[in-house]
Amino acid sequence: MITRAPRCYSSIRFTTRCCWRLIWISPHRAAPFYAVQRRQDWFSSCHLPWGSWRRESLAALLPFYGGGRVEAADLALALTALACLLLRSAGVWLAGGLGADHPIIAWATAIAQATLAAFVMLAIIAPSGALADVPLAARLCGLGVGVAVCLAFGRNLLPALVVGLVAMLALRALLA
Amino acid sequence: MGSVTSSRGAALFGARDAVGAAGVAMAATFLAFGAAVREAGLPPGWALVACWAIYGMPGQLVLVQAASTGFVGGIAPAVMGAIAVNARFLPMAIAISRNRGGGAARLVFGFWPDKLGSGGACRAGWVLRRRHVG
Repeated sequence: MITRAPRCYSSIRFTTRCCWRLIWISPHRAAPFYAVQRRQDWFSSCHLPWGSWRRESLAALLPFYGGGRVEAADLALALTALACLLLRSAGVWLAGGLGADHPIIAWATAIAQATLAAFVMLAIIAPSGALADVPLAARLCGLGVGVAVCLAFGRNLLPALVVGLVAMLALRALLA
Repeated sequence: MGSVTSSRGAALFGARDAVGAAGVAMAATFLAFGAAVREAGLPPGWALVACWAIYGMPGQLVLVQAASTGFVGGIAPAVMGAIAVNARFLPMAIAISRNRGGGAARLVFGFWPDKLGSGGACRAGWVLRRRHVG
């Protein structure tokens, strides 16, 4: 007697279940049909539009699963990554034909350092986000203390970072 | 510029050098980037791919800011802005890769132990030269 309604009356499971009673196929012979049905159940539950916990868990593993805004972000990310890879490749390609003391190498090094220095100064003078709430005096104080500690400790950056951060937070607390 | 004579020594040298002020600063930067990505409603996988594929925080932040506004100006301005603020990659790559072989491998792995097995030195080129370039 069937105690639970089958999900699909055309399924192999229902057919074999009926065959057990009408034709009597032994469970041993019906085992392959059950294996096929289990495989079909798994795939169908993954791809059915209403989904299941398996589909949801698979979707959670996909990094780009989401709506249209995420797809636009994916496209922007792919284009930017490709452009950055081309920039790096062009740099490596250009450097392959230049000597170590070539003026272009010195120019490129100076440009790279100047660009990073500009980013650092921009973050100190006109920051955005949480750092914008810190007063300018506290930011400059942290920078000055950090540079002084860096020079005093043989250009060791870690104590300079920690002491400069502490100085900035302390002056911020005093000014507040 | 220090040098070591084995690949294991190079790995230890690079690991010791990475756990320092640069590592702390980068960890704080990536934490802030993750918070910005979450606030913009983007998935964590997007943040991981951005950190790996772009590896330039200003450009990444430009993309996140554009995504948080829903790309109202389109994708092209956001991509152009991200490329513009990361244009330093070109001179950086020139300065870092001067007179060194294995350019493709260095692009993938970040550093390339040169002259391994030939009695020469093995240097974590990216870690060491980053100090000179920034």
